Amino acid sequence: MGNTANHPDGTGPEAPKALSDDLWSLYRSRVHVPPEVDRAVLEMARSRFAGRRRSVLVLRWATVGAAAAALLLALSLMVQQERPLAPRIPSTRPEAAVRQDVDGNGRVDILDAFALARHIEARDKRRHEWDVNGDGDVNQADVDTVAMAAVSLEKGTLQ
Amino acid sequence: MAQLDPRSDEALVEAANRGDEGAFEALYRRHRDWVVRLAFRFTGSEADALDVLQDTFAYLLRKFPGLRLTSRLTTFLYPVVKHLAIRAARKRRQHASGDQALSEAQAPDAPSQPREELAAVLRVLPEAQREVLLMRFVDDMGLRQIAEALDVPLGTVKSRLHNALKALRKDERTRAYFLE
Repeated sequence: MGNTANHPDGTGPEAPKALSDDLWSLYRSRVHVPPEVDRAVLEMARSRFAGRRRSVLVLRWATVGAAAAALLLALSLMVQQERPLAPRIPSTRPEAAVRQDVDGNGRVDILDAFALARHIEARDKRRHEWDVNGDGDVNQADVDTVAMAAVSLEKGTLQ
Repeated sequence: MAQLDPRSDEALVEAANRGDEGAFEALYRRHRDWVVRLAFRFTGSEADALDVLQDTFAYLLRKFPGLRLTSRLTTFLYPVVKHLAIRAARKRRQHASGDQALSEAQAPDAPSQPREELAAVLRVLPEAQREVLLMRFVDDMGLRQIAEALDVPLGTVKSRLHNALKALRKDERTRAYFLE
C-alpha cells in the first residue's frame, strides 16, 4: 500500500511511508461500478466496431467493383483499338458516303450500320438519307450496304 | 470474470486500431477503476464519476482507428477525465452552494484523526501542488508521466511536488509524518 519507492520514471522527492499510506486511504476510495455501466460502455464499443466492420466491407466491395469496371473499360478500349479507326470522310465527300454516315460523326464504320438497324427496328420515322442504296425504301438492304461500305473503307478502298 | 489480457496498453491500442473489439474491452477493464476513482476525486459525486467514466471511454472509442499511444494510457486519459469531471462538477455546483460542492471535491471524509488533519492541510494546499502530490502518490504516476499529462515542464512538476511536501512538513498537523 502506498508508494515510497523511487519511481522508475524519473527521480523526485519521496514521501514517508505513513504519509503515502494515508494519502492512499483518503483518495483510493472504491467507487462501485454497477454492471449496467459496464454493459453500456461495452455495448457502445460493440456497436461502433460493428459499424466500422460494415464500412470496411462496403469499401472493399466498392473497390472491387471499381477495379472490375476499370478492367472492363480497359478491355473494351483494347478491343476498339484493335480495329483501326475508319478514315474520316473528307469534307468534299460523295453523296453516298454522307448517307452511309448514319450517326454523323464524320466516319463510316460498322457503328453506322448498327445505328441504322436500331432505327429500323424501333420503327423510327424514316429519313430520306437512310435510303442508302437508293431503292426508295429503308430496310435491311440499306443496313447491309452501310456494313459493306464500312468493311470496304477499313480495307482502304472507298466506294 | 474474464481472464486478464497480458498485452501492453500499446499492443491493445494497436489491436483496437485494427478493429479488435476485445482489445478495447481489455483496455476498459484494465483502466476502469482508475478512471472512476480519479473522476470521483474531482467531482466528489459517485453519480458524476460514473457519468465521467462512460464519457471518457466514449471519447477513447472515437479515437479508433488512428490512435497513436506514445505514453501510458493513463497519461493520455488523465486530462480527459479531469476535463470531463470538472465540467460535471461545475454543472453540479450550479445547483448547489459553490463552496460546499468544491470542498467535497477537494478532500473526502477522513474517519481517523491523523487523516482528518491530513485532509484539512490538503484542502488549503494550492491546487496545482495538491494535484501533483496525488498524481504521484495515489495514482502512482512517474514525474515525466505527470508532466506529460499536465502538459507542463518536468521541472515544474518537481518544483510543485517539492513545495507540496515542504508545506506538509512545515504544518504542525502533518509534521509528524516526517519525524520518523
